[in-house]
Amino acid sequence: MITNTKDEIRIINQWDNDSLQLLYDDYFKALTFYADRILNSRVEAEDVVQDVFLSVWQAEKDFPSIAMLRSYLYHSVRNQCLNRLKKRKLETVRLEDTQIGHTNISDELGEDELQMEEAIRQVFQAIDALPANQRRVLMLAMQGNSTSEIAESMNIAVGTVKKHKARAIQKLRDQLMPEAFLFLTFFVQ
Amino acid sequence: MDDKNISTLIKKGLLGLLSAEEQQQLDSYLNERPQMKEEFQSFRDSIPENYERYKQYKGERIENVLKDYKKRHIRKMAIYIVSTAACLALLFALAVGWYQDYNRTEPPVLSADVQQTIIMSKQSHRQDAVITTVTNEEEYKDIIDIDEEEGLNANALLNSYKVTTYHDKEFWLTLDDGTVVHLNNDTRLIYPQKFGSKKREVYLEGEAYFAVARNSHRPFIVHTPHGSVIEHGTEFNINTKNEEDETVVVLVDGCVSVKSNHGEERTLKPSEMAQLKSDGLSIEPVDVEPYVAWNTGTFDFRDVSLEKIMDVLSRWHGKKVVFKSEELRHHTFYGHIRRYDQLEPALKAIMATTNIRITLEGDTIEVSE
Repeated sequence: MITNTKDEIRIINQWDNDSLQLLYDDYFKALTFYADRILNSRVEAEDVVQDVFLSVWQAEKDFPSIAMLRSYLYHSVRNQCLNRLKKRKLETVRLEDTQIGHTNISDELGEDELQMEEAIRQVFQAIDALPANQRRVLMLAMQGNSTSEIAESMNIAVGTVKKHKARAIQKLRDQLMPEAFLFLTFFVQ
Repeated sequence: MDDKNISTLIKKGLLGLLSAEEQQQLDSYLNERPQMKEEFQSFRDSIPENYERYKQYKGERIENVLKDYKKRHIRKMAIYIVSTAACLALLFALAVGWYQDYNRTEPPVLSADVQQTIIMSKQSHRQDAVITTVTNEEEYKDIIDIDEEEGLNANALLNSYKVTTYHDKEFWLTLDDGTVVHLNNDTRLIYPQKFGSKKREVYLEGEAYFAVARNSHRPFIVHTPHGSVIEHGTEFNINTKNEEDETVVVLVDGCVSVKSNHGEERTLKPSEMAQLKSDGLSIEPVDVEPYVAWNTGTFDFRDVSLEKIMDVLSRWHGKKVVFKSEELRHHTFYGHIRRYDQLEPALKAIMATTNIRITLEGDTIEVSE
């Protein structure tokens, strides 16, 4: 995971397997999630993202900043998805939960959309990094379960639930909020 | 409001961690951006579900991705062929295991030639079709005349599938019973998700090569605008589109009977061709090759007018045709042209046998002295 500015500088200046790995680790899932919402197919989404990383790796382009690289990645993924949508004619589309799909795909990938995707990426990455119990409590709470309901379904004490929840929230704040000022400046252009 | 600040507000907002003041700030930002607001709200309300989806994506070391890349693309092609056979075998097994003998189906065997053609077609990006579910009469009115078809009511066709190929694509399709249908360009086929117990029926407009799964208890019937073809385990070619407004059926192997719209039914033997017209039905022996060569990737022209050749080639390659002199249309040719070759070499091959100039100018094929 990209944890400091040294990593970021490395990615931008030194295009080797390690820097590619760092970039991949950080962005693969978020990009796949993005593609999956457009294509409604996990397998195709994974294909698209692998292809985009491959082409980025092969092209050995120069990016002045992480933000530009990120923008390039999302644009490439989006374009490939749109191409696939055009090619894809088979109408055996599985009807997924409507909350997952994109409501509409506008012509341009705007700054707003990019910003949203980046926020989602960071939020999910932070959730990923939580210890399993804390994550579980947090997700159950977000689904509207009360503390006692969570305690019951996880078979733990109410006090433990509260502890997990508090720790989860603290961890998320630490990771996502701008106290880590230096970390975030690089993401802003 | 700077980027950093907004980014933080969004994240906090998604997780429900905003203070009242922060909530107000975010609200006023989002109110100016309705689409973003919509995305934000739908995410915020379903983070757990979205996270479930997100966490399934598997990351890999990038080198493996590179190595896998080549393997994956070759594997896809092999899977297509293997699964056709596997699919047929499975259907056969199901048929034997689950049903009584009315459903004993013997799947067709695709020759090496045909399998090779399927691969080439995919490599040349010619395999493509639109498949839709028939949900109303509009979708099959042009293929099937309800009044003509005895015993057919509109409901019988609901939830059938309709496959359509464009002017420059073809498609191989395996039906519920294991029958393999190769659709040429500009063709439409309607077929049910599952065949009935007494008959297997499909509706065709265009050209298709059928390799039918053998089943003596359930005849396979292809309905066309001019009549129908009834058969019991065999390979044959049907073409409903040609200048004469007739359906032409050519039998390669097996046993079929053809029935015209006014009830006349006759049996066809291998290497015979039936012509179903509005005023009758005629049968004659033919060399099947030129009628079925397309099934294995070749246009086979025997004494065919240049006009007709250009018509076929131009549609297949998506070009227009212009004859600079009318009498050139009637020159006839013998020859083969590979379907998966580019257009220009094909035109050169034709030109090599004659003084006529045939060139590709942008979007148009020009034929001149």
